[in-house]
Amino acid sequence: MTSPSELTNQPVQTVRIDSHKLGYVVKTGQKILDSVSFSADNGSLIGIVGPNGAGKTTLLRLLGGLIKPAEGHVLYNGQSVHQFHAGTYARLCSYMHQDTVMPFDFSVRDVVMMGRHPYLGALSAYSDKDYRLADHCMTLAGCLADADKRVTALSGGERQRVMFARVLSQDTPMVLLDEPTSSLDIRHANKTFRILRQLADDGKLVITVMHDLRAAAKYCHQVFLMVHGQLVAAGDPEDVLHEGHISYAFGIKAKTFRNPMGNWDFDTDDVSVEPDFMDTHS
Amino acid sequence: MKYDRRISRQTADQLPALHSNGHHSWLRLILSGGSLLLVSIVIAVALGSVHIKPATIIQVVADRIGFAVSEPDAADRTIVLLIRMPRVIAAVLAGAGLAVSGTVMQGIFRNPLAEPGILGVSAGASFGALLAIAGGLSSFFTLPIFAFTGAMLAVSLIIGVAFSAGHQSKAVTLIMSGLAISALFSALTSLTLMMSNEYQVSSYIFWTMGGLANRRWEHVLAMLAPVLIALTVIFIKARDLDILLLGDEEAKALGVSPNTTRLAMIILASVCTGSIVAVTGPIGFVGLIIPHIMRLIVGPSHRILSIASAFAGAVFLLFCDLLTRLIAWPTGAELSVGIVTALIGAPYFLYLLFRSARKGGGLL
Repeated sequence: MTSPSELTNQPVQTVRIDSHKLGYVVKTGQKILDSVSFSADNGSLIGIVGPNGAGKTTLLRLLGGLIKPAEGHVLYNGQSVHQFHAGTYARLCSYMHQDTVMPFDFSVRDVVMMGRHPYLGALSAYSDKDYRLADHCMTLAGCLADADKRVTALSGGERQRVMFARVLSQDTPMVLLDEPTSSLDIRHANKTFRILRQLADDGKLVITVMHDLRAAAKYCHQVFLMVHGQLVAAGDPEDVLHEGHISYAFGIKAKTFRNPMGNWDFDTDDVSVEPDFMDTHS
Repeated sequence: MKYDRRISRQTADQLPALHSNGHHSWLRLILSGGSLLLVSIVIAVALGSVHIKPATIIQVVADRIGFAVSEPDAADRTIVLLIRMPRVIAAVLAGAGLAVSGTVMQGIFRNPLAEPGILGVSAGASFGALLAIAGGLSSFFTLPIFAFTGAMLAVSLIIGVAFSAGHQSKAVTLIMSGLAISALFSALTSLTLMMSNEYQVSSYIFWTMGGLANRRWEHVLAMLAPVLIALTVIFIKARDLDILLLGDEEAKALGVSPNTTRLAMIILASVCTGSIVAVTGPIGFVGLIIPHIMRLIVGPSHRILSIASAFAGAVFLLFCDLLTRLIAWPTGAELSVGIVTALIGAPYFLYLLFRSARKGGGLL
């Protein structure tokens, strides 16, 4: 599989993200994120997993500089994310939101081309290279056939593939994704994870929020497990996703095993370990 | 697997470069729109109670600029330069400015129903105009100044309220404070109307219908800078507007600051609209339907859309105003241009909506 980076002049860039005692509090006073610290380097695909409301998206938004932390800081190669000019950071870090809806009838290609915006001067137009890169990203994301369709006419899954192509076309050393496969069928979801893995193997730092634990075990270099605003475990997927962690995080008894394909797998008990687990903690 | 192989064969280098860079399309649009506008201006200046030959118009204009070919007739000269030309150019500027401001407001609020006066400009200008009328100050030049001041006061209040609530310009906050401040100004207007005499009330009502009759070069000059600045900045920042449509956080991740962009665009569009409304009174429909129609024709991309809207708005208002003059000629009474824009605009708008609904698109 060819990677998006093959089409650009961008060499592999070193990225080191340091999150130091990161905290985030919403207006009601509720602490969404509590003292999250970690470091990550390029060449790695990191999956953030955890129950709903654990603070996964908040952590991702902080890394992307979309919100300001209440405590602590995020460093990109040693520099605080908030000290970057927005236009500069857009060339270092791209972000795919859970669901992006376009109100007007842009074509799919127009939307994917928007990923090239950070590289352009105000009056300059997209170059042939930008168009070729966008076409390539659409091929990877599986939406080239839709290139000339209106983005408003697409289904949720198709739109998600378009937004994935847009993030790919931004071609940044760090890529952040919030559940990029939530609306995709198995084939497209697997393909998306394979591409993310390829990006990481090619030297980018890819961090994605995800719910599919099997995919996390199969594709990620590292898994971060978050529960109630805290980073509970981080490291090798199969070490992080052990039975005790799954039970603690999701409140269900789980059994892990190796499936006939030789991959990590798990199944869960129907009965909750602690039925009111979520309530007692929130 | 078959599918995968097909895709891997189709590498990016083999894909044809379908898109030459975008400069050509907007240059072509400027050239064709510009010629259409020039022809329209000549037609509009030529027609009226006294018909003037296009050749005479060119002769008069050439003489004025300094290319004296032969001395034009003094009466023709007066009609072209002092009566028709300022009115026609005022229509061109007002039409272009309203349409482009409407385009911007629809983009900023991600809503095709937004119009240029959405943030209090209309309500504020109306109150200002009424104060001038009721205060006996409604001369040719004080009324526009009062109306413009009223518009800017209303817009600043709305922006101030929206930004003091959380230091950001969320679209909903802006629209809500816009509604509230507009209602406040409407109430003040009604209150002032109750205390005005019959003559003042009727001249206020006449003002609210919008018109271009008897506009002079001074009026044109008053609109010129705001409209040209708005057009230029919006043209340069068009792609930021496109990206803002993805959503605030999406825009931020692409290096476009949503709050700064929105604030700058709102101020531009409001100053532009305010200066127009001050000169012409409120003219409805141009700022609402022209961007909408142009979006159906040239697509939603703001660089092309703003150019297309500017030309279409200019030509549309020019011909609507021409119609008011032509209808006025035999009957003696002159229609307000706002009536004509609505009478032509509303049915055409409905036709477009139903056509797009029949094609399977939504109503909007």
